[in-house]
Amino acid sequence: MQPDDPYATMIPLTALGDGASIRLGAMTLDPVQAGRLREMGLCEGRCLSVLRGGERMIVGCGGCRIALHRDLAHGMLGEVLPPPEGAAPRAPEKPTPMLSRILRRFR
Amino acid sequence: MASTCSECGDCAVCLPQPEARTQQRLAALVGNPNVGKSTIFNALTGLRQKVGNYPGVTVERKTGRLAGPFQTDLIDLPGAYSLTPRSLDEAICVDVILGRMPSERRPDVLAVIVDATNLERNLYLALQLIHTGLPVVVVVNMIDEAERAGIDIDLALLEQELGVPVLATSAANHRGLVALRNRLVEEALPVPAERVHLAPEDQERLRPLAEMLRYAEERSPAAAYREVVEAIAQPEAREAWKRRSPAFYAAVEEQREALRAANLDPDQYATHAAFAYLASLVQKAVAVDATHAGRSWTDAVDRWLTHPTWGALFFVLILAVIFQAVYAGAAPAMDAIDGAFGALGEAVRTALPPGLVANLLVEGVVAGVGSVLIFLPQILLLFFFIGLLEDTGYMARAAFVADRLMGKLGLSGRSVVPLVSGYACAVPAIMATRTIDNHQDRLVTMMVIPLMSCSARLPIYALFIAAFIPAGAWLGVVNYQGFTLFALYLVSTAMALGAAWVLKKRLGGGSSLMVLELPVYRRPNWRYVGLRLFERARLFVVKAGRIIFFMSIVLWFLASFPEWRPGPGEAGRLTEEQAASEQVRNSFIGRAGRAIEPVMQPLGFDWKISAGLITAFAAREVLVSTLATIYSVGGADENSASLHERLRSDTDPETGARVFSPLVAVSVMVFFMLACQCMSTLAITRRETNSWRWPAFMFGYMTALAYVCSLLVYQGGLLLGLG
Repeated sequence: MQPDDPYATMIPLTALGDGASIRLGAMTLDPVQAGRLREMGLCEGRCLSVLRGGERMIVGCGGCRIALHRDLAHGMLGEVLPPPEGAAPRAPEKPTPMLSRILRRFR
Repeated sequence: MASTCSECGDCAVCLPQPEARTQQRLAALVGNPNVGKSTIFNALTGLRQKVGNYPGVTVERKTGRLAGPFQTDLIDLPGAYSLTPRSLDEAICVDVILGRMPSERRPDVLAVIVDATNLERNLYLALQLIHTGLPVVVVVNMIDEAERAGIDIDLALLEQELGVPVLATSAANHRGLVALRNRLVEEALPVPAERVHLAPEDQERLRPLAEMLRYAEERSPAAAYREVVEAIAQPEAREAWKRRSPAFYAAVEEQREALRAANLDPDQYATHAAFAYLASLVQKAVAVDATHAGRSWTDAVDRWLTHPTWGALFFVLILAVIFQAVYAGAAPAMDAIDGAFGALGEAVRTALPPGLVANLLVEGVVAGVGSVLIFLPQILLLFFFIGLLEDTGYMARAAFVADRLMGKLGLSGRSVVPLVSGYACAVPAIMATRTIDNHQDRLVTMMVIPLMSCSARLPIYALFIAAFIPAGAWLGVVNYQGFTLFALYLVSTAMALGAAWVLKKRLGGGSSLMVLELPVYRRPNWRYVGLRLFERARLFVVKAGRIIFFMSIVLWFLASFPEWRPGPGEAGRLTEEQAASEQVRNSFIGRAGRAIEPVMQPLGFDWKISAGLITAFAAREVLVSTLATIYSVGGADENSASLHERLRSDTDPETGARVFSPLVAVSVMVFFMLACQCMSTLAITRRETNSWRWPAFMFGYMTALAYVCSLLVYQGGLLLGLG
């Protein structure tokens, strides 16, 4: 990593767990895709929170929810924000039920 | 207020200006998707609406009229995120606003609808529209939802900062709509006031450049700042300045370098500066009550409905429930329509003397129109449920859940909404593909939409299911007939997805990655649901009244002429029924059916079904009226016992074998499930693709697929002894 690397302190959106937030710092995406995301409100300087992780993510931004493919989310870098004061830690996800595991195998 | 032309050819000055004010005014509703534009449009115009298309394209053009001192037409434009269009409907929206749409007037005033719960993102488009110089009213909609979420908006401050009138509305509750209507129809148009729309740090950064323009080019401060931002972000604007003012150009290049050094992309500076300004504006004008913070119920519901496993199961379950409800729920209304047309036929026959006119009216018009109108309840139920999925916000979740599957087929989740809309009608579904930004994805989606079982197939399914599938229920819950209908829809969906996979492989091209806004869940507005159903019913009745009415008369003529006369010695031997059968067999339609019978016989189709295939090319549902006419059961329709019994008991006069068995019925349903028997679909595909090649391909591959599958079903069934 270069010492003056502007992305040194940033992590991709995909590295966050559900409920975590970042302040978007940079987008390493194709300019057309980045342009569309900015117009939808996902622009540098805004706080994004991960509402659902996975291959298809749901990201909260201001008052809206944007569903994103993971490959796009991977190109969105930012600095992790601390959880809001007084916010209770999110309960860990329950273990996947048996039926879900079976269906996932089929998929 | 409009910026000065800098030879860019794409600024507010270069573009056509609104026409001189006349008594007739055009107002446009603009905004991001899902901000309630259509709800406001419906509330303001009620039933005074006209639905058409923009010239040359099939994007729906909805206009209505507002009463007031200036007679004002209101136009509902497709949703857009910015003035940089990424899809066909966004392009239409932008072209109308900028006056680039041929034979479409540039609006005199724009009502920019913004979502009160998401002001920052929504105001980005409003800001761009204010900068076009057109009169603008900003409408902060869903204010009630914002209040419930503890969001307090200082409208006066927004109005002061933006330089345009700002109104608060809640379209669902009719709040603020009178004020909005008055603003759009009153004499004085709200021309934007001069304001610098930049955050303090950006104003500071660009001050030297703006000062250069202010004094050298005599610009107002607002115009100077706006042109500086354009020069930094747009290569065309820089090129113009390079020729006009090398000193200013050099200063702009220097500023671009400074932005790069600050880790900002100068090409994206316009968006960055706008959002920075909006962030500072919203911080000043919006207060959020922290006690309301927390996970909303939308998030709680989404936890299940967007779950990879449970979300997919719910999607399948909801489709199953819809098709069960469509079949079971429509029965009483269908019986009522059936009875009404039966009584009407009887009344006409009683009132008129026997003869050609009575036969034409009873066997042609009443039987033909009645046989199609009877499906109105089922079709309305289908539209009701699809509308409900859209209005509640679930449709976007369906697209999200299905994106994984669509990704495997090479498409994206954006194809899901047009595909599901295809269950109602392929024509609007094909129009809905304009929201797909990837050209190959759009083409593939268009090609497979007609495989989704549309409402015009319902009459055919209903006729054969009612005739050949028993009416019982498994465990008293799962209706056999409803289940058969669901299975048909399931198979047609599987075929559409399979065809999409094959086509995508053949056409190649990458797929765009999913970016989709998920609106909050909302309670549907029942008044507008009713309004939409009324409009749908009106269209269907008009269609039945025109096309089916006309086709019924033509069919009756084709089935009645040339008149068949029994040969010597035959007259006494033939029963009345046999004579009627010989008449149809030797009529024009009978001859046409017999001409193609050898080709269709391997599918189990006799000349009557073959004749129906010819007439049903115009519209699938005509098959039913064709069979009704051929069987000469005047006054009977596909749900009446007589036609069902006729179908079940019809025998080949030569072999004595039954014409219809359950296997033949399945073969017919499979054929109609897969064949492209719809002129409107082909016409809309021609218009959307601007080529005859694609509709020809669509017709060819679907007909071949229908023939082969029907052949496999029938011949396979015979081999298994099911015939």
